[in-house]
Order: sequence, then C-alpha cells, then structure tokens
Amino acid sequence: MGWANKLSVAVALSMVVIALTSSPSSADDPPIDIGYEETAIAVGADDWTVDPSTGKVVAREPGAPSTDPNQYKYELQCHLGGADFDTPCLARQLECKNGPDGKDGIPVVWLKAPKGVENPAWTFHSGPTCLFDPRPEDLLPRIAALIQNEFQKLPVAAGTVTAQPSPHTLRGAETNFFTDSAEQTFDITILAQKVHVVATPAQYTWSYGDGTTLGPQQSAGGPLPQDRWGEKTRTSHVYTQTGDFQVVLTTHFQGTYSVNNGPPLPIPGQGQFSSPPQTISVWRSITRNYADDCIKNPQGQGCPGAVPPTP
Amino acid sequence: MTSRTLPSARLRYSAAAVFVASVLVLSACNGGGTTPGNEGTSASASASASASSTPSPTPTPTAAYKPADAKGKAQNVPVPVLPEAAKAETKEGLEAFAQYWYSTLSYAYETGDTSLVKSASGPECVFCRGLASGVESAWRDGRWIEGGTIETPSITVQYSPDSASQATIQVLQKQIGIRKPDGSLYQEPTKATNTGSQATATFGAKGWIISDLGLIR
Repeated sequence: MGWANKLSVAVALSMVVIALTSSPSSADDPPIDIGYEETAIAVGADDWTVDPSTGKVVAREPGAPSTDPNQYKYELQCHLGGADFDTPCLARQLECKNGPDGKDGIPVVWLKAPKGVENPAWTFHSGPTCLFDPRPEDLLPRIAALIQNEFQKLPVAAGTVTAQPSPHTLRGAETNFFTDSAEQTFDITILAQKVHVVATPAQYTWSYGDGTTLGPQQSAGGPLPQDRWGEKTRTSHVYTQTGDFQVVLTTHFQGTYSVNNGPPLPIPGQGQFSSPPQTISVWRSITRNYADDCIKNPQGQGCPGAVPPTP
Repeated sequence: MTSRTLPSARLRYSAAAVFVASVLVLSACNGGGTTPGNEGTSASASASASASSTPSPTPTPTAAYKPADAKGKAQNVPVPVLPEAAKAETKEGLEAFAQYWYSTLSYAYETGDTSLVKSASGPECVFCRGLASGVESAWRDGRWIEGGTIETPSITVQYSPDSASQATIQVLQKQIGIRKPDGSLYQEPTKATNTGSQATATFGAKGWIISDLGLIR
C-alpha cells in the first residue's frame, strides 16, 4: 500500500524532473527497465515470431496474440548426461511415491529454450516435478499425441451470445452481436498423469442464421450503450429478411497443457466450440402518418380496437 | 492493486526515457563537437588501432578481471575488439559481427560505457537505443550493475548480398542487480533470461551495423 503511494509519487517526480531536464532526484527514483527482454517489450521491439507451420522466424502481425516464445523439455533430476548422475543431488532428490496408479514416479526438471533458434542452449525452467510412467523419456510425445483429441472433448463454453437490440431487431438495421467468452481451466488425467489445461479464446466465427457468416476473426465484439444501438460495429450484421434466425457463435480456443505442474506447453491447433443457438426475431417497421387522433379517427393504426390492415 | 500501478508507471517512465535517449542520439548525429560524438570516434579509433597493430587486445594483461558484486563495480573488464573476421561482407562476417555486437552490449552492462554498442547500432534501431538508455539510467548517480552479462550460444545468419541480412541469435542474460553507492539494491533484481532475437544488419562504409533488432515472441 505504502509502496504504491511511494511509487506514484516517484512517477510524478520523474515527470517533473524530465520536464525540467535537470538532474534526476536520487531520493525516490522510478523503476528502470534494465533487462534485455523487458526492454524489448517496453519499446515494442517484441515484433518477431516463429511461424508454427514453417518453423521460420517472421515479423509478428500487429495485434496478433503473443504465443509462448519458449519450447520445453525435461531431464531426469540430477542427471549430468550419459550414465553420470550428480551424487550429492541424488541424496536430496524429490521423492515420487504413490502416483495415481499407486506406482512410484521419477523426478524430472523442466528446461526451456527460445523457439526459432538453431541448436539452442537449454536453461532451467521449473521443477523438480514427478512423472509417473515406466518410460518417462517418451511420455511427453505420447501425451502430445493425445492432447488435441482430449482438448476438443473438454466441456469448453464458447460464450454467451448477446444481440442488441434483442430478442427483436429490425430489418435493414445494424444488429450488434458480442460474446463474453473467457479463459477456462480444466484438470484431466492422461496416461495416469495429472494434466492441467488452460483454454484461451483466440478467434470467433459468427453464423447469423440467414446464411451469412463472419470470421474466423479476432474480435469478440462488445456492448453498445442503448443510445448508440443501430451503429455498425466489427461484429454487427444487417438482416435483409424478416423472420426468426438462429445465431450460433463458434469460438476457436488456443490451449496449453501442463503435466504434473510442469510448464504450460502449447496444444497444437485450435479447439472449436459452439454456443447453443440463440433466436433473434427480425421485424420490419412501417411508418403511417395520421392527421387525427384516436378520438377523431378511432380506426387509425395503433388506436384501441382498430383492425390491423393487411400489409 | 500495486501491480496495476507498477506497469503503467514503468511504461510512462520508459517512454520518457526513450524520448530523452532519441534526443541524445539526434544531437550526437548533428552536433560535431559534442561529447557523445567524440566518445564514438575515440572508441572506434582505439579499437581498430589495437586490432591492426597488436595481436593481444587487452591493454593491461596483468590486471585481473573481477566481476561486480555488492561492494563495487566490475574491474578490468576486457574491452571488446571488433575481430578481423567481422569486417567481411560475408555470412561468416556477420556471424562474427553479431557476436561482437552482443559483447559490446555485455560490456555496456558491466561498465556503463554504451559508446561501443551505440557505434555498432544504426540510428533506426529502437531496441538498441532502449538498451543503451536503460544501462545509462542504471549507472547514473554513482550506481553500478551487478550481473547482466550476455552470452550468445547460437547465432544463425541468413545472408543476402543485395539487401539487409538477418541473424537469429539466442541471448542468455544473467540476473541483473542495480547497486546504489551504499551497496543496497536500487530495485528488485531482474531475473536471468533466455530469449531469441532477430537482428537486421546492413553493411556500409563503416562495416556492419545492426539496423534493427527485435525479440522473437
């Protein structure tokens, strides 16, 4: 609390100092972005990515969702390579007793390296954690082979569809659609390992029910205040026919999975999940003008007891 | 609550810092007799002189290198020298130059002297400027940096003779502590990082320069 206050004071001070271009105050200095990685992010130079299909380093599209820049692997804890183990390390090795099948497991440490780099050097990421499998060396590829299928089977909620105006809208008018689709987490078991899955919405496809679709695109849409209903938005749609339409949202989720509290690994490919259909009734509006009120002309449109004319 | 205040505060400050840095760079380009300009010239002159005349680049071979700690800054940090191989307009030349560029950045972290890394970077390289200004801010008011040294275990060059060439570099940086004159930490140490970078390099009258640099995310 006190720290936050101090900080905001420091920021205010630094702004004044810069405005005056005098020497900076040494009493309450602001944080400095000093690291190589944090500086790149601070100046917006985090502008390259690895194309997942070609493995090549390419410029990152502005606004494209940033993916995990790392790749991961694990090694047996205390393993020095070949048949060599670090003996002092073995003495305080993580115990992996009583796995999900009652069997003992094997402690591993997770390593990371940046994607897109040839023959990278691996550095420590996390661990040690336990793997419960007789063949830990190829456990990850076996889980990876199953994860896409498991991902698509998860009860991921695509998000609620809201239309403005609703449930009735007008023919020829912009009807605004949006969703509240959110990140979701799941804990499942694959090959006797505890697997934690995080599903993050990445793209959206709107099927407006009149044969028109929009997407996949990155906008979830957003609510409009009532006085702006009818404005065109990135996800709005104009119905040209009257009637009832079933609107379906398909949300494309990007997923990560971590095995026994290991690092989050990307799930290749997106999982697609659809919302239950939402009915929207499209009406037409007709304007009729009358010079009289309902007392002078009780048969006028909208007057009590008036017979609606056939359109 | 505190975490909300922090990033915006840092962003605002770093934006201001970049602005100040860009002003400095501009003045260095235009003004003939300014200090940054002199620094650049003397650094490149001494580098080329030692490279051509003496095979051993270390000026005082007796003084032992000592990394920085809580008590004081690093001592007798070897000055990076542009290797002969890095002067060739070839794939191998750029590989050697990319390695040299990161050794000048590592040197800047260890000594606070950003002149070498600046003279090896193009004026358009926003990330290069940001790194230099971060180092300069850290070293201000009698402070020094502990750690922050850089290694580049993997460098891959895509050489194109007719246009700008590219290099993909793995950058390992050690944990960074900024020490105040009394030896206390200025802020929480920045953790060690292991990242990939993409550099664009051009070969001009002064040899290779890094004209653009970015992080692979």
